[in-house]
Amino acid sequence: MKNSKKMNRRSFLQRTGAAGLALGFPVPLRYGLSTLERPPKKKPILVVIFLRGGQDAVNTVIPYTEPEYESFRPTIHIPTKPQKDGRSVLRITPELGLHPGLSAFLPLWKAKRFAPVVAVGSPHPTRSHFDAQDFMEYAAPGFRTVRSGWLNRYLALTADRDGKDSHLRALAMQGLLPRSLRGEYPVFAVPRGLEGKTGKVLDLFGELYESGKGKAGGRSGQMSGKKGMGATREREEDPVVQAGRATIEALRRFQEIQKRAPKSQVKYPRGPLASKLQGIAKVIRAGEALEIACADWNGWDHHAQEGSLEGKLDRMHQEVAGGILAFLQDLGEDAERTVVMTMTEFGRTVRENGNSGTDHGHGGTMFLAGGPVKGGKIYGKWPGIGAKDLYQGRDLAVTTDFRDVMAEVLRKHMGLRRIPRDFFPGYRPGKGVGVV
Amino acid sequence: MQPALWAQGSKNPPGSRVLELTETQKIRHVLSRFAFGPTPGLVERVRRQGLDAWFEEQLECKGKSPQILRDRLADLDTWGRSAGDILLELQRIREDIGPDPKQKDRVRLNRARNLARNQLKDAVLFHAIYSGNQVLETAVDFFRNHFNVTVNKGSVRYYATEYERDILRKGALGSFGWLLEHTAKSPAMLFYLDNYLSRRPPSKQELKGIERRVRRRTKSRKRAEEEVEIAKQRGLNENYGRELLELHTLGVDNYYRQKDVIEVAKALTGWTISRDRKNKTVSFQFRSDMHIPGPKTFLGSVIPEIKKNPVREGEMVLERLVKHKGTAHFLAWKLCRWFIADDPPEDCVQRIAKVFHKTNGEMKAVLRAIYHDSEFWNPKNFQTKFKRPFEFVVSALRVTGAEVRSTRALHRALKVLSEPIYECEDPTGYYDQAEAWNDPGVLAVRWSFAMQLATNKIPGIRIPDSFYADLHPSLPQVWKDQLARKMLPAGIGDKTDKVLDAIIRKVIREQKEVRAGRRKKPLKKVLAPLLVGLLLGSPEFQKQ
Repeated sequence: MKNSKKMNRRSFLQRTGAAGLALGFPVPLRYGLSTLERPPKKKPILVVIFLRGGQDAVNTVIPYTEPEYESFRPTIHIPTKPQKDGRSVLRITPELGLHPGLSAFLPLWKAKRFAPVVAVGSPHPTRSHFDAQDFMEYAAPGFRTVRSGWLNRYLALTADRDGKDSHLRALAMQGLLPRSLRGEYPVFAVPRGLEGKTGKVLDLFGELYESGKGKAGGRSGQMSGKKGMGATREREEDPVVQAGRATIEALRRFQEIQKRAPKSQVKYPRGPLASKLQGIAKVIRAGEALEIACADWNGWDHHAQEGSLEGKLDRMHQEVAGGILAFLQDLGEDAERTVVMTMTEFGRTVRENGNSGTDHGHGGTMFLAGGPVKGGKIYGKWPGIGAKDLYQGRDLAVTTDFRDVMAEVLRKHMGLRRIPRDFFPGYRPGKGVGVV
Repeated sequence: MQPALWAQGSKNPPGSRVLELTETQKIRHVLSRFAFGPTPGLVERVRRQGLDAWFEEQLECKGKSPQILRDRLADLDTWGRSAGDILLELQRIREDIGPDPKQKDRVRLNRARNLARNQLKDAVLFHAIYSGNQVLETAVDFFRNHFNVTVNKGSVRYYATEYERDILRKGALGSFGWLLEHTAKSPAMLFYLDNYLSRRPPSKQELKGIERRVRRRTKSRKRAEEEVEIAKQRGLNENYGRELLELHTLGVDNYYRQKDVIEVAKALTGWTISRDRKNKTVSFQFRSDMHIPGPKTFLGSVIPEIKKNPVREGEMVLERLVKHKGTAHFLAWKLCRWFIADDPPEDCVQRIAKVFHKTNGEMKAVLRAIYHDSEFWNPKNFQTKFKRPFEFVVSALRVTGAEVRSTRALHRALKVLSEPIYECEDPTGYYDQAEAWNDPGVLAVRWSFAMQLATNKIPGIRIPDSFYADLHPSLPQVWKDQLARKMLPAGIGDKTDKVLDAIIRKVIREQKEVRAGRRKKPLKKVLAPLLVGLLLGSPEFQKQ
């Protein structure tokens, strides 16, 4: 299992090293001819947010009418009746409501641009974070040999055969790539805090790492060279120098994008996720042909002191909903071709534990928001939280396979007509969920 | 690499094809791999002592640590405590706060919950930076990743202090068998890989007992039925059994199959955690009522049922694994990768595996074998291994003799560089090969860190003036070479040399222009830190 992972990483790095990152790279088509339909002028955008640790599904989309909801969660349930501060379950349907921390989703819900998918998850029973995350990001539950991310497979599958892909088809707003973006197709990771503040440092180290003639800077906005250039320079074999040069080129480009992006009036909430979304929005608003962006948010593993109306989960929900709303507002008309999707490796136990928290569970929630989303409706079959309805007597059951949503997003939103058989190992897309 | 460095003191006659490391290079090589790089003056001290003698002294942990390490550790009040003590203190605070916590109480409680974890991370850093027993520190670093646990899972944050101090630090230069047994029985590992939950499914009688108890307590029949349903789910957990074979001993799919995983897990049922509030201990406990009885077939032979002392069954599994040639090979391969090269040649691995096998994993003998192996001294392995973020940060602090009073910025840097201490979620531990770390993008974080450290911009961390004391008083042109000699084991590369020359000229020119104006900073204060920052961020310093 671990060895094959390494092999994949190696071939990935060799490829990026050999071609130079963010230059035009020839990417071999693993699945034969491209099955992408003729691309529209402006390509669809997919932003995937991974909420790591296991978002508590039952305090996200809340079955406020079921009697077990309160009795299973004596200290962490959300009251149905408004409290002093006027907050309570946001009843969006007669059976289900949203956590009040998610109130920023309400305008999107009313505009039919937001929809949760409930009781969604993996057919694999694992309650291990690393397995569940691996399985989900590789979109291959139980297949330990698959070591390329589903989004990377998509990028490789739809790569331009002449290597004329945009330099920034995909990126992750973090230091290392999430597994969903790992694989043979080169993707750039932008470490936090480096988007705009490192000008001086880059100029200094540019001279140390660049193959240019010792003069830092160069023509801004243009990559300093096309494929194959610099192949004869000294130290060319050194992967550290190569990675350094790729870093400088991509960060320069990034800074230039930041300058180019029109000023925005949209206010984001403060926090790690929102700032990542803001960074992604800048890239899109600068007119970059970005198709896929990822952002991770760790820390959803609320085994203790999860909170009810106030507390950890509430604060994190506020940032997720507020961040996504701000992001879509920030994109303006580009929001019409953008789908933001959140996922999490599993839900949590329906009963609270002895520490006013919840433990690893099964069925979870996904949010979809954006122009192409058929919102204002809850998708997926709600299995109920009565003692008999629960998976293994403790967790929300899974009624929708997470790959149903992935496949639908790729097909209906990204325009991938036919999904090759081995794209989702051991799985054939069904008729879909209907959410996009 | 400078030709001059190659030639210096080389035993090889001119024209010889196999180059050999010079004496100085050998010292620097050992300090790169069996230490987190040199501190000011260390190369000279080792030279005086003799490299072999230094290494042997290190294996016996007879190196002297500076006062600063004792001072820093003395500030970490949980570092000396037991897990039970740490938990008891937390409980006292909980009771003190009472059932209705206010915001400031929550802050206090959170701080208490994080205290041991944060101080553990500090202890790891301080040891790596300041310890005079660097061979021990690198071996502990290896085993911290080999027997990985994360403080982000449940109670591990309270157990990990003991784990680091009483198992990893105590056993890293001892025998592998001792380490394997003690990690297997440690609350940290039992919790991290769930073995403490692993048990035989409850009997009908036990289920009835549960029903009775819950009904009496809750007066609810429904609740009791639910509890029974949950209890029925409890049973064998193969998480630890699998990682024991896959990651700790044999290597993935080597010699074993799924049924071996299950048999190992069965042998280890009942290995769980007990908490004794009276004696302030959290410790290993064998519970025979959780143990699955009967003989187990493991790797083709039988572990007999030992009714009188069933804990022996699991211990026998571990003993067999320690003696297995697959374990020797897997550990040798990992150790060679760690200390020699990302992709060590098979014949070298086999030589080390032989020693491992023969000595039953006596770590001193194994490390000594690596130290004396011809492959270790192969010049192509000199300064060619990419530093992990931890190695980069620690070696930068060591080489500059930095005084670390606050670790906050260091932990933050390690987090951004994706290697926060004791936070690897994956049981593999952090990888040690370049391909895991050399992602495009992240190098820029190293550069920022290098510049901030060099210019003393990191709060609580200072490079002392003494570091610059021996710079030539009137010839700034030679500073670059003076600093490079201290900081870059393989010397300065041509490109770096040229770029630094240009920067020196530029800064001197600018200084002259300032002179016409009013205030000026001494050249040494401007130029020297800039050079240090560039050297720390140079391609040369990213390798060891």
